Amino acid sequence: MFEPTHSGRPQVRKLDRQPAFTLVELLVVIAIIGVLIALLLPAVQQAREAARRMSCSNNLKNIGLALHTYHDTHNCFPIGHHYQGHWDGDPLSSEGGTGFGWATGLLPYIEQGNQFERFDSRYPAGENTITGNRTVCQTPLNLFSCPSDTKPAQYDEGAIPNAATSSYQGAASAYDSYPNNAVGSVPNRDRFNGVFDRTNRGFIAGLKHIQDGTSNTIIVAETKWEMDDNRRNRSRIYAGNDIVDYAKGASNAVLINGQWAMNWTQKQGNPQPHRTAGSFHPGGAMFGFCDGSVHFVSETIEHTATAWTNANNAYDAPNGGVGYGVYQRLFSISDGLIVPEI
Amino acid sequence: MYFQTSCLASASLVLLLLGCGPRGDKEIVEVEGTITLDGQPLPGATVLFVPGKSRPSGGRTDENGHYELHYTDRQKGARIGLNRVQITTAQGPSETADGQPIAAIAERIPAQYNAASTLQFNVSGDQANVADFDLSSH
Repeated sequence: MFEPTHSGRPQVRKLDRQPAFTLVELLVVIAIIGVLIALLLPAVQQAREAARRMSCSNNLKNIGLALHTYHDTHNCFPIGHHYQGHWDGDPLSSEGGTGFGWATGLLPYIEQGNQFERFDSRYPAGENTITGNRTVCQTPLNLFSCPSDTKPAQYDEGAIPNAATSSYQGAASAYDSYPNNAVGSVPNRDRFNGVFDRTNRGFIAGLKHIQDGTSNTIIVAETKWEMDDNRRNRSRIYAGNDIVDYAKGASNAVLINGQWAMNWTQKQGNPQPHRTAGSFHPGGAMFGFCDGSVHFVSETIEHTATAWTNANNAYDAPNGGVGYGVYQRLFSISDGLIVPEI
Repeated sequence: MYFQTSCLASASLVLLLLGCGPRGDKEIVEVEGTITLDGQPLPGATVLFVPGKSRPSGGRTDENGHYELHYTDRQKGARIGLNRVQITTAQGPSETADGQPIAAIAERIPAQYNAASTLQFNVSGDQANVADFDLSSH
């Protein structure tokens, strides 16, 4: 350290020039690195979320394709929720609904044909001695799981323990779609105006019924866990069964409404958190449309929360649809109102 | 040299702090109030402010009938301007945290306050918004 230098300069000068960091230099470097990491970390988290959103979009795209393949075979979309009426008996029975939802009909079209063979549509979804129905209903599928959703793979649902949970539900109506349960009644398609419905009103939609245009109508919506005060939701892949024998209620396990704004939780006053679309993607949710396309819709989309009152002001027609918001227009298949680009 | 690096560091810090302004829609201001039915506080009711643009704001009354509006998960309040107000006590069926069923709650207040609402409130951007409503069950 103290050897003489070639230039023969005094030792004091040599000590001055020692190659080392001062404390200030070190602190400045640490501060700069800290700032850079602070800038970088949120970007990494956002990149992760973007990847999860893309994966979710891919799920909805595949569900949309499966719905179209189903439509090619049957010339209509699947039944929304098999709620009342026997499958191969009296179709007007006020009981007997097996509880199966639309996604069960898609099984052969998402390469789950073996699962489809295991279940018997004549028996309730919760049945587990004669058929494999309950076992089918307990089988989770990645296709029905958004990576951002915090839901567990299985959770009890009505009469089905450990039912497979879902991040996606069928679009039922822009209004509250569950009252008026008289079996065999003529379906009021202005009130129950979405693609999917319960069997008891006897309406099954095909592409020809989507008169607002397939690219303007939602068919499958995203849902999120933690909507209810109990920090859960009811969204399930295969079925909604309140009791073992028949479906009764529980359509909100497979179908969704447009009357309640996206991401509106029960804690914030939503009276029907189980019928409300939502997601953990910041600022909105993913929606599958009838043409098979998938869009991210902002949660601040125009929404007027219009409730059904009577047939004279369906879609707020007397006011030219002013009180029937864009979000609701996306749910109804033939409201005749204009939908702006989303 | 030291001067330059510290200049760089403080400039970055200033830029970083500039990003920390208030977030969200500036047209949304906080709204609270109290709902009474025939003079009695109305607990567990949903209050909805519908501006006709963007999404509505919602809130739920506590045991004293007091509520506070939420616009999104991250922002409280309602949109400045005239809002149509809907108040409902109907609640869908639910479950407790350990799975015991909670029955649906029926509507207690007339349709003129919810499905066919005639209530309105003008949300002001200049002063505190206290939106109290006294409803009549007849």
